Amino acid sequence: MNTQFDYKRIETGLSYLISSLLSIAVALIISSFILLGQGKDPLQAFSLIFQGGIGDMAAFGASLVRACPLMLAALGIAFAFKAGIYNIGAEGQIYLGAMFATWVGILPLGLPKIIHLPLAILTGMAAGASWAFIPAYLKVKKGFNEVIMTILLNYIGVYFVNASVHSYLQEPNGYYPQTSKVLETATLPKLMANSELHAGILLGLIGAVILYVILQKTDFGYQLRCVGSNPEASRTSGMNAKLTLIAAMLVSGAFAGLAGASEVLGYQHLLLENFSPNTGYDAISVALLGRLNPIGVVIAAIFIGVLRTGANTMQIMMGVPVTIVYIIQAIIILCVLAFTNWKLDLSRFFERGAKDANSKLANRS
Amino acid sequence: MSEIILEMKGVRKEFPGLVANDNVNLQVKKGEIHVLLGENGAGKSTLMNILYGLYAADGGEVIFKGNVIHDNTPKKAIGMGVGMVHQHFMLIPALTVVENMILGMQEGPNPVINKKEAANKILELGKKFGLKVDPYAKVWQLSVGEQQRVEILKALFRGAELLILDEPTAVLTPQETQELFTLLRGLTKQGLTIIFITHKLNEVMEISDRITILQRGKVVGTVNTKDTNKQDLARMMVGRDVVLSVDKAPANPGAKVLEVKDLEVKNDKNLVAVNKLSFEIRAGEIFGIAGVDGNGQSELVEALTGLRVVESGEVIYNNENVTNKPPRYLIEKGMAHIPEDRHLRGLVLNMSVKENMVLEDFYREPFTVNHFMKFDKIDAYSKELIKEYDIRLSSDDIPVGNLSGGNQQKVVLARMLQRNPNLLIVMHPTRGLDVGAIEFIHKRIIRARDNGSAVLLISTELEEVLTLSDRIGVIYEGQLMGIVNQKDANTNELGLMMAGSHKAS
Ligand SMILES: Nc1ncnc2c1ncn2[C@@H]1O[C@H](COP(=O)(O)OP(=O)(O)OP(=O)(O)O)[C@@H](O)[C@H]1O
Ligand SMILES: [Mg+2]
Repeated sequence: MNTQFDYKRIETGLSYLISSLLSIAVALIISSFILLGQGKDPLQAFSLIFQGGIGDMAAFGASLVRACPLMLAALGIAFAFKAGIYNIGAEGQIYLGAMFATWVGILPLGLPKIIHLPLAILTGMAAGASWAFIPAYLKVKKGFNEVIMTILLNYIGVYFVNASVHSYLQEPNGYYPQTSKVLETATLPKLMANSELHAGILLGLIGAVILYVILQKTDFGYQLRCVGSNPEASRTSGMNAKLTLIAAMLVSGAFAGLAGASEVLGYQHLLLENFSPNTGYDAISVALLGRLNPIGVVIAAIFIGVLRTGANTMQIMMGVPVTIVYIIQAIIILCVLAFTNWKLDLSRFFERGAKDANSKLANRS
Repeated sequence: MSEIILEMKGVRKEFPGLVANDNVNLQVKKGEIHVLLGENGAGKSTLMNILYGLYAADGGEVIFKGNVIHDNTPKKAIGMGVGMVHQHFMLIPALTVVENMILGMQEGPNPVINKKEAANKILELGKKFGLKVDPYAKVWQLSVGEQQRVEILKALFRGAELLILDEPTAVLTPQETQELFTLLRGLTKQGLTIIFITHKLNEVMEISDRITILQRGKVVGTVNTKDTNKQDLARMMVGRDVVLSVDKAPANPGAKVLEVKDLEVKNDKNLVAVNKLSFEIRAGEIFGIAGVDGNGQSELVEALTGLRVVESGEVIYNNENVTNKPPRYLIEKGMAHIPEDRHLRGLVLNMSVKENMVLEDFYREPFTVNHFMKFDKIDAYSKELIKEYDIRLSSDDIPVGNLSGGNQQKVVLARMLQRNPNLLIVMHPTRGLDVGAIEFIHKRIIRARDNGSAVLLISTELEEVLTLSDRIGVIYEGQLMGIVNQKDANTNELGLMMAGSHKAS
């Protein structure tokens, strides 16, 4: 029995790996044509992406800084998706998390770092969670569609935060729409000299492990997976599906809030208008790319971080328009998603002809 | 003898750790109704899925109308004239009948896109085979029996000459079953061939010409229906003698466990489904509710188990008013519920068999200590249930949705019976089970009763209600037409009550 289980795990792991590599290969080929169409050398472009994203420690550090908010927000999104609630609202939750963390961060409380920093982080998380609570509550109590609700709340959240740096949070006597700098006692420590890399990435890694343990090892995670897969059966067997959805959404919002908080406290150190545009939406693709698995999300976020940073280098060095860079990124993500399904057919090699996809259809009797 | 339309030779199919079909030989003659019989997990659905191109065989040959088929796919199978009706229909509820018919037929050499043309063809086919269907009705408005007719029509529409029906009668009322049989006989007169899967031996004797029996993936034999009988068939498929009647001591009713007073419940359309219903059940007795499907049974059970709001009236459980209490509360008080639809309410199909064994009790010791799940304990428990309830599978790590239909039902039953409930609410407990498993489950339900459980049994199978219950109520349009003791029950009177006449007192 045990040996068979291991065999299955190896099999799934291997097919994930193969399908991921294949999808990247296909994406690179398609992108090559686009680059060729632009009159650029694709090989040079790809090697620049590689060098700029992961070529040396400094480059990799920069990539991780990019990956950090994506990772944290995507972890939360994946968690909610697992419970069957579609949180498209990370964007707004990130902004609110950042605003509240900044607010605590600039308050001259005279507290030591060991208190001030966690306080700022936790306030940011609470803000994200509260923002996520609204659509969760409306879904569970009134049956509102959470996708529409979270998207609408994104607009409100983003504009609200942007307005704040023009008014009550604006730096004293300042001309710019920005807050004053976060106090040193509230900043996340740096991890590497000559790099912006900060401890936010550690929060991401620890968060991933915690979420993984919650999902796979605890009763709450079990319940969450059940509710996400079959809410009616979960309800019938006594689980409180509504409460589970709310809890999942709170966790999800807290992680988005943490993404915003760590971006300000670790990297930007003050809040700007549109300080991190579209991170919440990009994080959705990261969550899907990581197949909703916390560990997968970590890898996917780092991958996108490298891609983004490397693409910047490519853009600067080769003068490729930034839109082309985005198109290439989108192609890679699409390929990876497309190949997720293809993985099912791949299992034929392992299962001696069993068509997994079809067996689901077939064995309904 | 008539010609052989289908021959399967030495067919083999393995799933990891299990041989589902082992050197299976099957010959089907043109124009016959051929029944496939076998225990749960014997490999019937697998064999048919190979024929229909859903699975690729690991070995053997399929010869249809004299041609060996290579690299079969559903498209190929349909093209050659094989049609299949799965137990769970694959129609799209929001579309009309005709839209469902032409779905997936827009490509190929003869694309069908003209709805009007298709509708005419449906009417024409309907006339030819005596199948009345309104092409413009939306599928969700149709009864289960009608949906099945649409599925059959869909296969005929695509030119099926061989029609596979996988447990078509499991969800039908006796009357709908008779209508289906009339239809099938008509089809064979027109030269169609039918392969029919069922666990109901009465039906086998009534409808089939020949029977092939499978046991653990192997063919035991093929017999002519006129040369055999129910006992022999049961023995051939299970490998031992099966007691087809139920053996039980008189009930010994104790304290009142459940009392339902003037219960009123609404259905999804907000119409009254359960109308001022009252009854009680005592410890140590089985109270059966018979009735035609759709007379408020589902709503009644959902109200009793905390899944549906009670509009008025009371539910008293162990001397406590539990009206509108949530399911967890009732489960913790010792109520167990075997739901009507195992896919909707009974199982989380994409989770493992093991994980499905603790759906109710996962948060309690020994399965969880300090919020951490003890997977070794769950594993041991699951292995124990699998053994005790003879659930046939290759590994309990596979998704429960990969189990055969009957074995999925056994997972639900095992989970519930093992909890030693003081109140057991069961709905269609043996739907899709083979005769051996039915015998076993009936015994277990009676044992639960003898151990002091109060049992509420709801089934559309009158025979099951009649043989198991100590007292029988008949439900009609949400009201009880009367309650009779088992020993006084006669089918005639119950039949009349099921049609809506009150009990003559
Ligand atoms: N996709 C799959 N993966 C693993 N095992 C499978 C899969 N599909 C079927 N099996 C196993 O193969 C065996 C045969 O299953 P099959 O569905 O053919 O049984 P069946 O005769 O139709 O039974 P039932 O009467 O219960 O429907 C079962 O033990 C089942 O668990
Ligand atoms: Mg089957």
